[in-house]
Amino acid sequence: METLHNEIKALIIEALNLEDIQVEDIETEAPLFGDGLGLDSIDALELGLALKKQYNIVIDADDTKTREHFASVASLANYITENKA
Amino acid sequence: MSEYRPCFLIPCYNHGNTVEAVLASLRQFQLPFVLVDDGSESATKQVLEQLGQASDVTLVTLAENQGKGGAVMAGLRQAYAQGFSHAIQIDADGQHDLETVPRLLALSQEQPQSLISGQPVYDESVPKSRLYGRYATHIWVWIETLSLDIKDSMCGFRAYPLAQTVQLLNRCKIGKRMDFDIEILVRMYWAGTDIRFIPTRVIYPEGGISHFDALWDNVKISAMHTRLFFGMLPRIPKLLARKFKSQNKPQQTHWSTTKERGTILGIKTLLWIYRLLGRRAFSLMLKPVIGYYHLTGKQARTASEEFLAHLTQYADSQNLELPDNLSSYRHQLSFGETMLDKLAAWQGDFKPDNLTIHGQEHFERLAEGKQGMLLLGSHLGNLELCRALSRQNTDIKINALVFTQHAEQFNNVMEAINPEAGVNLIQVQSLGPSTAILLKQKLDDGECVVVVGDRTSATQEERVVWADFLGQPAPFPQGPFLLAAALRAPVFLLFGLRDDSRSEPHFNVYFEPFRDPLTLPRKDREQALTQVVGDYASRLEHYTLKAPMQWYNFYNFWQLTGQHNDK
Repeated sequence: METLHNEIKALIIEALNLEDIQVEDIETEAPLFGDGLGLDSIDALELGLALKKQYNIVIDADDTKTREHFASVASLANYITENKA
Repeated sequence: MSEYRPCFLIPCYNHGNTVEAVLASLRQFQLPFVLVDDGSESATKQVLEQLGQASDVTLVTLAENQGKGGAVMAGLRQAYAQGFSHAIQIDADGQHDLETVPRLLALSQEQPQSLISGQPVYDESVPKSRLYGRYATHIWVWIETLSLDIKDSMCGFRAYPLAQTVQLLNRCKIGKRMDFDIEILVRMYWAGTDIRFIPTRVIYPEGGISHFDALWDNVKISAMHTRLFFGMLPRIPKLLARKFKSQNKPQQTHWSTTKERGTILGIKTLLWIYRLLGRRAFSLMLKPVIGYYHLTGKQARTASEEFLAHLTQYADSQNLELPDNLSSYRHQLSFGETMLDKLAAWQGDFKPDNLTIHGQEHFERLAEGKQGMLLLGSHLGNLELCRALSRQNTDIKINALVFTQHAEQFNNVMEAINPEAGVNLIQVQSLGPSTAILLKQKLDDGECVVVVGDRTSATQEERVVWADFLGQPAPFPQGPFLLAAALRAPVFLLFGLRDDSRSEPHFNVYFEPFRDPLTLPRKDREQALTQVVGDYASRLEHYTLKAPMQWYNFYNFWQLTGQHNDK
């Protein structure tokens, strides 16, 4: 699981052009949006596209659930594991 | 429904001669009566009072004459209050064939949720003028319900399920005179009530009084149809969804074929009027209807007037010339014509000759390269038309991104005209990551996606960017612009405007490069977003000044209300 966590962190940094941030700087359980890493809604869209490209996962159209899956690196990892096509 | 408890409901206005016989012949069914005296003259009043003495009769006396509808409504409420489940309405003048009563009762008991109505089979005694009048009404009702389900709407011989009916009476105001019989049926149909018919003979008895005041009642009925016609327009999706739903139910073959024909006929009737009489005649017919709507529909009128005030004030301050004759009435008329344009476009009535495309060279370059693009549209003019024409005349696939559940049903209307209409309609709840993924796929396949940029999100209204529009800041949604940035596809603006100066329908489609790609760098994202939205607003303003009557955002555009509808 930790490999996947690091993979996702690297993906976030690359997809969103987070130049000043390293994999170590992102906490697995910390919120990605708002207070934690401080990502915004355009980042959510870009991250969604990157995740789809790399893991070929389908994201539920239900907005509230999407928000839960995108909460942290840990929740994204769980979602990817469950939905890997 | 717990128990089937019917009663007879007889509205009575000066039918003293006939009501007693009607009552007597109905006694064989051993059901209680609710008699309504609709402010009758003293002779009839006496007869009714005497009849009211009987233990099985409840007499409701209206001090002043209300009209047949008023009397029936009073009777329906009384019957419901007394705990009856159904009311069997019968006219007091003896024109209904009482031999049909057992069948009406049996069907009503078997289908307690349904409204059962007689469907008249006339004998020789019917005056011809009445018969022709009925045909006109039939056609109206078919249009209003977009179906042939209502086979007859004027027969006052009916079994009403009281719970649903009284609920409807509490909710809306229904005509009190001869318009009642028709209006209640259409409104019950709209409310989702199943309506069934049984054939019945109607006799015009000698000496019978029918209170059909030719002039006044026809005026009332015309006003009612106008009201119902406009009630139908927003209900088109629901009415058609109902058709499609009922077709999916297992049914006898011949019924389902009839129903399918009914759906198409409803819409085709509208188009047929337009085709047969031509566009000018249709526009002419539209005028009184829109006029009525204009006078009674306060919300849309207010919004239109606000828009026109902003527009003229801005044009004055900038020394710009506006087209003549701007009025909120003409504004609404223009909207009516656009509805027709959409139907006609999907029907294939417009040819490439009807269209001038400005900026086609950009389009072709991209189409050749098989590169997908994002088209930013608006509620100015008619985008549906662009989609229809591209579908019919080019290989370019234009997908439209639409919100709300209604969109899918709205699409059913277009699909009934042209099955291709639904192929590229993408319906989403919100602009989230899942939407981005879906659209990315389309763009990668070399297709176009149209997103409108002028309506704030119904679910996330606070996510807006304020930009100047006609001299005042207005809220624009963030979503479409963020989406465009994430998708990194070339972004074009798309406007489809009708040229009202020509007698033949003609449309100008404007296609202009906007951003390629649209970027919102992290460092000054907010500023970049404000700039992008500002540029969009300024182009929207440019085209709005070209065709102000085709501005179809009928709400206060410069304010957040929390109640925006996306369709």
